[in-house]
Amino acid sequence: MRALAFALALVACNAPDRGPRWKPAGATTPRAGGTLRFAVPDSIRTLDPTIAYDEVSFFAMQSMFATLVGYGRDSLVLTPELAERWEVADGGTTYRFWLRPGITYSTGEPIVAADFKFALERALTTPDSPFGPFLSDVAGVEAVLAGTTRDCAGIVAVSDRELVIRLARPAPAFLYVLALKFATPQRADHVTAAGAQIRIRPLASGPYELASWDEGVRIVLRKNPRYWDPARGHLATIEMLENVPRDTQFLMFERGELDAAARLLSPDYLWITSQPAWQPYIHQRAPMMAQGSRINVRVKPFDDRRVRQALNYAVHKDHQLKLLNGSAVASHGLLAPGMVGRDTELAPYPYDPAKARALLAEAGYPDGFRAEYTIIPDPEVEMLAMSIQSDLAAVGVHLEIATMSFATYGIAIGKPAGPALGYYAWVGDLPDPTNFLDAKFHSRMISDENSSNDSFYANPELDALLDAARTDVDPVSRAATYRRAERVLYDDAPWIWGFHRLSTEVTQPYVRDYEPHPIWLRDFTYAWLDVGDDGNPVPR
Amino acid sequence: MLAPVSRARRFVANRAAVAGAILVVVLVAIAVLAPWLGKDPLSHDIEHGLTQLGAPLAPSEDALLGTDHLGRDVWARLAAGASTSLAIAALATALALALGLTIGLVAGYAGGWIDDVLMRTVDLVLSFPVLLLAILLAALLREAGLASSMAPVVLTLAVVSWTTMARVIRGKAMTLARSEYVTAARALGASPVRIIVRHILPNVIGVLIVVIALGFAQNLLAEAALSYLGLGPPPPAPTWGRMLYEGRVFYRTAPHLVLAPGLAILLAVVAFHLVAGGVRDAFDPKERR
Amino acid sequence: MIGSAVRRLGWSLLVIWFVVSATFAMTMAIPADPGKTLLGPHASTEAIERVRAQYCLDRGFVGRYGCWIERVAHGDLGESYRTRRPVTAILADRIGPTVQLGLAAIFLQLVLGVPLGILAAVRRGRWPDHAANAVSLIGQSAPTFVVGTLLLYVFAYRFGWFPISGHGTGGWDRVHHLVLPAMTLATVGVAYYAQIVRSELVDVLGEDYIRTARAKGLSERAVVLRHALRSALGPLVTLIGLDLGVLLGGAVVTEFIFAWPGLGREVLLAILEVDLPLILGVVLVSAIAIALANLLVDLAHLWLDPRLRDR
Repeated sequence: MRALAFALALVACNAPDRGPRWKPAGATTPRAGGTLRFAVPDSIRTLDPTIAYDEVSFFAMQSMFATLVGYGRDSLVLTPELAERWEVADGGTTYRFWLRPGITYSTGEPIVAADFKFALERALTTPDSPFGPFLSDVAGVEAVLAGTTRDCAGIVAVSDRELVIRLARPAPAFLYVLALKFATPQRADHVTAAGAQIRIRPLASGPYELASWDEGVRIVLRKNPRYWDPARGHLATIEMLENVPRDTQFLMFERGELDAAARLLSPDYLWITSQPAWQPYIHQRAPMMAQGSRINVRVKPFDDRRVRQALNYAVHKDHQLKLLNGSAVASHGLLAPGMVGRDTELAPYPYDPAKARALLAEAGYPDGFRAEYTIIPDPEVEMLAMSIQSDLAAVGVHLEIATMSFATYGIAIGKPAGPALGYYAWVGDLPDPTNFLDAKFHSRMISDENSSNDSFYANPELDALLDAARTDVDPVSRAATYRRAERVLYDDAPWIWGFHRLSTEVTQPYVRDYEPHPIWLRDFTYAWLDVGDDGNPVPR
Repeated sequence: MLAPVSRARRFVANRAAVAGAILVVVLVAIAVLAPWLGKDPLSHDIEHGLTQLGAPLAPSEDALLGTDHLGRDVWARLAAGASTSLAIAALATALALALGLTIGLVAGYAGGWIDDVLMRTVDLVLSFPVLLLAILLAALLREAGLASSMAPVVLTLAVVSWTTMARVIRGKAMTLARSEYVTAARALGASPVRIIVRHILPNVIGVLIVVIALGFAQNLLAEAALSYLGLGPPPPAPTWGRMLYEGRVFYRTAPHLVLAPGLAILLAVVAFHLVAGGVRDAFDPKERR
Repeated sequence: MIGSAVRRLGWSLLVIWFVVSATFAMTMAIPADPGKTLLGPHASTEAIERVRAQYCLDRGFVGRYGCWIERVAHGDLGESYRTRRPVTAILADRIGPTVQLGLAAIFLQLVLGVPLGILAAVRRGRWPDHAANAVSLIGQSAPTFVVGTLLLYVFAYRFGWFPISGHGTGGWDRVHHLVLPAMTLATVGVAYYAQIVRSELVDVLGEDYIRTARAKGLSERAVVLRHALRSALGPLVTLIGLDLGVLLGGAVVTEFIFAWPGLGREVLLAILEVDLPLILGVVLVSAIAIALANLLVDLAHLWLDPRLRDR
């Protein structure tokens, strides 16, 4: 059996034609029906929108839950979704929403303003919810968080169709918060009745509802006929397979067992981007994320700004980009391309080992120093770390690479005594600088046990800029303030700035009208299958 | 007890065993001579060791076995991997041997309740699902602050493999303890330690060699498995298992990254199995086929 | 017979308790907690403390152990750190696929390994013997993931004879999905079984009572199958028992490659993400499986060889 397998393998090594096997049937209007299948490398944790905070659960949830406002198809501008229109008044502290008439859940009950109030209060009162802090600007939250009441005074359901939210101070980022899935309307009676089962019993307000979920294996969503927008929900069912390794996923995609693939590994990415036949079906997007090396600025020798700058000059960014096969953009800071407040004039630190050495000498380390660089056990992360290791060794900084599991790493870096230097990736929840800069670099986010500001960076100048911009309702001056903040961070270098990863997805030719969601990527609610009348794809 | 000369002769007559022994010698030679055998296995060459888009280079005149995803020469890494992989397996086997030999000898010679207790302990350790124990230990030791050294892997392999050694040696020691020599020595008042060292140990050698060779092979495979799951030695250690871990996603576009370390592991394991088989047959002709 | 069985049962229980407690002790050294995993990077310290208290993590070692034992006694294995799903529910879902895979592998090992061993024994010294030995050797020496990846690539991807991953929807579809993972798992076992059968047969085929049987005129096949194979039964039973234990503990690498939703893959994910309740749950199940398998093997030996009873 062994020899046979080897022989077959050798024969099989001659690559066959790997082009697309099918082509679009050629319909001009969206065709209803069909099943779209895709896979993810992890498990869905929960379908409870108040709790879910991981990417994979979002993939499953985003088709089931609708919010007051949503993102446009290809932009970061918010558009009406369950809210037909809204008004911002009182210097940016009052938000008034009017719901669309006739909207209901998949079960038929009407969606009313009180349901939104309940959902937001649920985020504040559920101990497991990570979304409480997002509502910190709403008037009356302190009382709810203190436990004295469950009713948040700042959220008022004026009528079944009118919702008013009052903020304690202006917060231009607030509308984005309402686009997060935890702000989807929820019914109190449903939540109470479901009890602990709420994680598997979602009440759908979106284009799709839950058909079945074999935990850890596959989730199946089916069209919610009661969803208000006819432009969404062409597919009859969406199937998501869990825990499929990334390379297996691509094999399945090539064989047609999947209709879409994402997070391609290097060889698959290189191969498919070099195939002209596949070009029209490749979708690339720059998600809201930044990757680099986080530095604990309280630890010697990283407490000296010159040392941190030296590290930035020492890293050869072109090498990093080459290792990523060009699917990334070098960064100068945390804010991703397209975000408000990003300083587009600012160029990433150039590669200048001479300058790095000079800065190190100036700071008192002419012969460099030794340090540990902590990473998580991911081959890609290791690859980049080794590149950094050799870049830094060239200027005298000798790194030893230490590996820690993702779970432990997350806890360890929140403590001042934790790893001082290591890999870091920050994915934003909303496309606003508060979610990036405030969370990571404002001094009020420092704590001893679980610091969100895990660089332990405290700069009054930056704090002042961020505080001013947070409540500034004038978009022009707000953007200008954030640009200044970016420059401060660029100079102070609390990170070795790295890059922004590009996400690459690929779909079969018969999948039409698919665009990766600007924030959460894999959103198939607008897509449809351009197959033949018999329901099967048309061969090429 | 058979004379050593005929044992060696029987080993040499066994062609498979000899082939295995030669292979082992070649591997050890590569491991020892590694630093002189090729380019630096640790130096990345992102500029020239990769294609323009960052993919590994196929085998060519410049690089006999191509380059890996960081532009490092695969042949150099394979040779360096020989020394690292063999060193890890050797260290783990040595540790396991220290524990397994001691416990096996004591249990086999003493018999009675001592043997019972010790073998029950072995049973307990064997009751752990082996790979589970390995994975858990590796993860645990890594978290315990030894994240940047080889210690976690070596310790894990040792803990998992000493039990088989103990069992086998105990079996042999038990038979020997009943022999006339030992009974006589005991009657003459020799101390247990002396008896074990003078009479039992020399005759356990045959089984010992077999157990060492098999343990070695098993540890090589186990290190590869742990590395594949991401729990092996930390970067930039060039072990064969790690080469498989880093190269496995390239198996379709750059198969040399998987074939080279894969075949190396296969050959090494086969070699040690053959040697083990040869030694076993040489020492105990009743089992000879 | 009963006395031996009861003694062995008692020992099995002790072993299970020991394995799980030892695992518990080991996991204490890992500073994982569900707080940050569940609540994300924006969580407040109080929120994290609340979650930790729910998992008894705010107590010392003995406190935590006692808390856990008490829950287990009530059949509550806690909740997964990552998903908050009850561990018992997760295990119930995962045991089925693992059992299916394990039994399929053992079946293949018997069906392929035993005949291979017989062939090698009766054609001892000639080329089928050498070929069988070579196959055995390579089977034991090739890393599992190499075999698995090779099978997946050649038979599932290239030839398309089998689905690439997953465990199908039951019935024949399930069997279809089962073939490649089972073959991957069975590789090492086929080699071992063949070796054991061969060496036992070669031993036995030279014995007196076999010569007598031949002299009586029985056909070679009858001689082999009826008499010689019986002596191989003992060691085979031991091997199967070992296999049962190991395979029911979950074939980690195979399940990972083929996305087979069994205990092995579950425990790997649990360990990588330091999901302590789930790790302990899987270890408990595995320990029970191994103890059970050992018990069955011991009982089988007692039954097969009356001389061993009630020493």
